[in-house]
Amino acid sequence: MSTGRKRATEKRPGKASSNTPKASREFTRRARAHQERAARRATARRQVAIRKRLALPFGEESWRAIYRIPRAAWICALIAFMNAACWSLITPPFEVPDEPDHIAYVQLLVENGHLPQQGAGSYSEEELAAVDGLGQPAIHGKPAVRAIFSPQQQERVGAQLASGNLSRRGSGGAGLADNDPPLYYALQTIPYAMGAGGTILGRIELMRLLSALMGAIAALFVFMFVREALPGVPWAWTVGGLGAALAPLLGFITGGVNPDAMLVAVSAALFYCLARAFRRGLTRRLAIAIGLVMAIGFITKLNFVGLAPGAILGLILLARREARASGSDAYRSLALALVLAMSPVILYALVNVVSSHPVLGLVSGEIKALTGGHRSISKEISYIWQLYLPRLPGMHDDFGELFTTRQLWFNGLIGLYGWVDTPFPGWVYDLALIPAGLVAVLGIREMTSRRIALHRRVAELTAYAAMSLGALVLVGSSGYASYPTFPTEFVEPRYLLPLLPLLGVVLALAARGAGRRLGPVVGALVIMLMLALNIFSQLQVIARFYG
Amino acid sequence: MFGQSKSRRIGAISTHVAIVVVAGLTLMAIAFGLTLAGSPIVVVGKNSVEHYEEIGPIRGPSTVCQDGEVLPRGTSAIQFALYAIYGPRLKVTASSNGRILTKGERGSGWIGETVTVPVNHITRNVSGVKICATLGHTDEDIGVSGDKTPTAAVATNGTRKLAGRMKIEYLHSGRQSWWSLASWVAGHMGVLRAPSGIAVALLVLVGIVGIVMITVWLTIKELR
Repeated sequence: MSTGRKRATEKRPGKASSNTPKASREFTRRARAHQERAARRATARRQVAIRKRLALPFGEESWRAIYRIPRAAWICALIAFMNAACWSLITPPFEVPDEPDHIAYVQLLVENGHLPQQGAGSYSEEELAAVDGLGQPAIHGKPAVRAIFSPQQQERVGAQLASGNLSRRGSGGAGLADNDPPLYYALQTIPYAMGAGGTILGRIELMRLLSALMGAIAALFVFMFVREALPGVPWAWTVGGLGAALAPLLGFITGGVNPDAMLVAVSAALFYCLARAFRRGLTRRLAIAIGLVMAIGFITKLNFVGLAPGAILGLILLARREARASGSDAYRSLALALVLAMSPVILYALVNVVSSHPVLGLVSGEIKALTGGHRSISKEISYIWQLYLPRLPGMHDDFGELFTTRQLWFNGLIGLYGWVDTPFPGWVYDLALIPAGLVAVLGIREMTSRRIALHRRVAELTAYAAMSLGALVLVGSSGYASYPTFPTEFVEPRYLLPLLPLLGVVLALAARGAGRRLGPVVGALVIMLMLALNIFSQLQVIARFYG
Repeated sequence: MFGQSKSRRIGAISTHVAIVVVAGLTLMAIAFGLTLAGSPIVVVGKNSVEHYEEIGPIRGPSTVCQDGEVLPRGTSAIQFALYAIYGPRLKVTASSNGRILTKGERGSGWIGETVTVPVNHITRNVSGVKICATLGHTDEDIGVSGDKTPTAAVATNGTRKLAGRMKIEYLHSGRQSWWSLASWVAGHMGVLRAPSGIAVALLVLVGIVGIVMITVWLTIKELR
């Protein structure tokens, strides 16, 4: 007999049946409860000690919220950061889409002290020397051309960049990034300034690490979103969170200097806040959080506009639901969220009106491009439909032989790197259809079996669907701007990264769809596949640039 | 009894998860080894065209042909300087005196300023070859790049002459495996960013190994 059982008998001498299995179970239960209480007390003591040590002015509730984040979520964030850091090292400078323009924007903020002006020239002498010296124009779009490597080339470019004779002041513009909102770039001035003593290549690496941190935040929020959206099965949260953290497209983009890195983090935070509100109610605190996240989104990248209508719809649906219980308080929360969300837009418009510029300033040009010119509503709808789905009878053929669903989106999301010029061999995409098909079937199976629960959450699903639709339509609309000369010029798989939280949910649903016994096994399989895809994606990039 | 059967079930699931993880890692290691046992594609020959100047946009369906090419022995793929954002299907033939020497095909969806089309292996050098690339239907303008030249031997699009000769390269699998090139490749990874490229490669290796280990630990710990 175990010592534990002896002790139980000693503590309750008067009970003859104390050594029965029932009593033993009772003891085990009590002992476990005691252990849990002790563990909770120890955790609380640790938390108090840490807070005393840090002495940060942070609200009690906020600390509780942070401590409630499961350890697995932090680990997913760590993995996403490490992954993006690896991507930042293997991808040569300026080989993430539009990276030279984004770097020019940051450099303008720091060195010139102002935002870029449309059409005011582009890179600084220093950046131009780095771009040309590393052969970026020759490498761009030509997968057979490798990164520079001869010692003579390196020596020459290295000496030029380290000389300190090159001006860091740009001529006032940042190319394609001219119209981008400034928040991401403002944050990037910190690592830029930290590396001010080194060459531009060192500064780029530091800026890339900040993007990697944003990738980590995105992975954390994806985990938390899956947890809120599918609360019933905790192990499935890890499948969704880890699957998203290992997504190679996330690693590639957050391993570069590109505002999409911050956009994906902000979008994941927005999905999480909405899911939390749908599950726990639209409290004042959550309304403020949603409003702030949306405000941050607006000043991160214009593509956030695509998610906004769906998020606002979600807020309205939440307020209507809450109003049944809390009356007008719910609408006050809604108003608060909307005012906060729209505050940067309103402020920007006011500044422009006062300074006699177009109401939406530089963004007006973008809006004109998206709405003017050759546009016809019916043709645009047809184009956007065909951009994602097979053509319907009666539609003009906008993409020729290109099967957009498969070639543009599926293949692109599986793996397409560099300046969209580094794909896998064709058979990889064919092979990827098998696990992707299985994930889809299992996910549908799970949703079908939970259709009653889904029916109860129709408002929440409507909000997510509207956010997704908004993002897709925005990408389609900007693609239509270059139609018909280059029907897919501004269409890249990375524009779907704001929907990463939904990928996490799909992976988690697929694992759950395999049933209670097989679910964790399928979940492990999904994680292994994502890990393999990530590693071989990095190998593909290494082979393309250094092979 | 119920508790015991539940813990047995959890134990069985943990074992199955561990098996999947180990099997996954083993398969990855095998695939990694096989990938590195292969050889990179290298250029075995190219025509005299040096530049990537635009010599004419074309739109599919159409056929671009160029005479006077030399097809080197060992060629297993031909690379054309064609620019597309998402290119259409491409069929290639190489012929001499009306006789087809080799042919190949590439599906639609290729991207970039060059496109490589695998062809049947060529066993001997052949000169005076006419290379034709037939593009499938597309609404996108396809750029053709090469040297602008006033000579008669320019590329043609059907009966229309383009503004010069198209750049074409002939490729085949190299003799050296990726394994044997590993240190060479690693040496180039730190271009201008570290004193030694090997240091960057090692950092990436440590990062990847760390990611694998943490992922495996978390998967086995949480999925049960």
